[in-house]
Amino acid sequence: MNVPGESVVSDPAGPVRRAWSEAKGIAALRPMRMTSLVVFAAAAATVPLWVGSNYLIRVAVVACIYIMLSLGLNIVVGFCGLLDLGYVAFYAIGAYTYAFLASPHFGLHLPWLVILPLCALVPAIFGILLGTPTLRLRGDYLAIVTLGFGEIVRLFINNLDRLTNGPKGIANLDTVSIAGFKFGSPTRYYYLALVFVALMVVAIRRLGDSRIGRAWGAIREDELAAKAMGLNTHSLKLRAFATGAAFAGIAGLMFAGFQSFVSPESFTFGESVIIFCMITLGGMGSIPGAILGSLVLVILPEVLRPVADYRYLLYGLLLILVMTMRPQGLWPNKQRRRELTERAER
Amino acid sequence: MSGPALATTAAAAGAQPDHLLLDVRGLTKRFGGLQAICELSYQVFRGEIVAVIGPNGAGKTTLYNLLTATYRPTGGTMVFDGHDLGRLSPHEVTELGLVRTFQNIRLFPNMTALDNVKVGRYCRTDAGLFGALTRLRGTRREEREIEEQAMETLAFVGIAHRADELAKSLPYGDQKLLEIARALSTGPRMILLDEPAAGLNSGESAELVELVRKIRSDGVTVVLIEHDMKVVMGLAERIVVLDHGMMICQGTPAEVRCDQRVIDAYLGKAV
Repeated sequence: MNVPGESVVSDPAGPVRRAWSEAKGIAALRPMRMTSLVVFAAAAATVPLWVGSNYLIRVAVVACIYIMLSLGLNIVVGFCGLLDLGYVAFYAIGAYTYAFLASPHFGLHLPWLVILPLCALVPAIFGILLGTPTLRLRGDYLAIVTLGFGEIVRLFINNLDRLTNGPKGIANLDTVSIAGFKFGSPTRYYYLALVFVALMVVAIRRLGDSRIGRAWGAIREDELAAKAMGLNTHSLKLRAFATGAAFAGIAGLMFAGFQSFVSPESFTFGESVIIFCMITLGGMGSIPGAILGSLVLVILPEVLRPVADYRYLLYGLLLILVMTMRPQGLWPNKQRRRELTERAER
Repeated sequence: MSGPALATTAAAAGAQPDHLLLDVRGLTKRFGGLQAICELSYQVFRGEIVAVIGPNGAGKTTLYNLLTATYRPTGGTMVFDGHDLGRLSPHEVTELGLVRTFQNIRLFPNMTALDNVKVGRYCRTDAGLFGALTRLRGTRREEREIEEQAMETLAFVGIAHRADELAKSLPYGDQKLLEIARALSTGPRMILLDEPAAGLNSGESAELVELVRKIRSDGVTVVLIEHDMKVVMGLAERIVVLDHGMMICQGTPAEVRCDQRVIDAYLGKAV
């Protein structure tokens, strides 16, 4: 990449530059990361081949949808440090946006590529509407407000019969098709979902390593200092909220198209909690962590099926065990990992 | 001007030493019944180094909090370069070119030293969400500039070798320098230092004195709160003495040192 300090003419620049690139080289660990990335991508791309049944491919699609949700919540909680307990509301808004625009419910059947941006935009607008009055609150207070928002959205969907068909939900959503190519089978849908996961991973990486991403980090670390350093924290928090909401909206779109059915049941407070568990388990603020956490929490109930009655008992126990033994998460982000190792060295 | 670190400081180019930069008049701040700042009036001119001293609880940090819009004044005006600070929010004050450091270090502890300084460049750059996602040429160039300037600023305060370390794992003295670097990277015209020498050993505070001189020679006006009298007397061209929220005297170090009111404030009145 670029060589920092190129334009420095003064004396100390030489050693500075050398020390700097050296430090960067040590921190990079490129080969290992590349290998794990290739292995992971190959495994993900071949899932339909080595997973026997359609049922398990459907599980993989569900996993992809949760990964999208975790990545989005990671922006809000992991990057910016905003405790959003009503995150599932944006997921619901995205899903219902698709249901309204591509089903016999209103008789609308818009092309999927037209609905796609709307499913990001509408939740983002709701995010801004919710955030504008509430993001002045801190920590636990914000958590309570967002929790309330999540419940309000669910109750509205449940009770606005004429608009949303209430608890009965909206059925027979259009099969997702792009330019005539139908994503009807689970395998095809899986690849569509995988492409979106990949796009989101790239997007979130770029966000994290940008001017805005650093500013989010500063707010998470010390909001007062962030303000004093010239950050318009309110506007930045709104942008984190809206971006996270857009991610959730896309996940909602994928979910609705996959199930071909939406109902308020899918968007309970419990869902918000599960998504929270996923990013906490994986490691707050870490992209691979969010992916791993989602995979574990989607796959675990399937693996535990044989023990039927004890399934969720074991699930809960495992969560407790992991969090007590590995509080930083299964795959913590680089900085948090360094934080722990550096402490150990002293 | 010499230092590359502050190349974007607007005021630096045409620094006029006798030009009024900060004009505080009748500034008052009450917390309930407590009068923290009372009818305070003073001026700071471009290119000065001014020290604000006074016993604990005199209202020095409150004054900084008022100037940077962290607190709202109860009364009075603060005009910085023609702008009324009383109506602004903290980030707008920083955008105007008035920036502070904190008495109890307030870095972004889990970010690297370099990223801490890069955050300071935020208010002088403008890539948004779209730029972050697309990384078009303009954004990439801006990122490169941010990185270069951040490295230069770290080199300017002398901790470039720490760029990749987490702020919280730096030694105390370097953390203080990093705070100054972060503040300088916002491109200020005036920097408010809050006890920069507190906790430094004598070697480190001698280096700090040099650094503050260097900052000033780059065209940044310096106001510092400081208890270390060696630093104050070595640096300040003018000293403002506060006690109980009021200015009890101001003048050159020599004048202030002999002022009976100052001696009384620090040592108590002779009975």
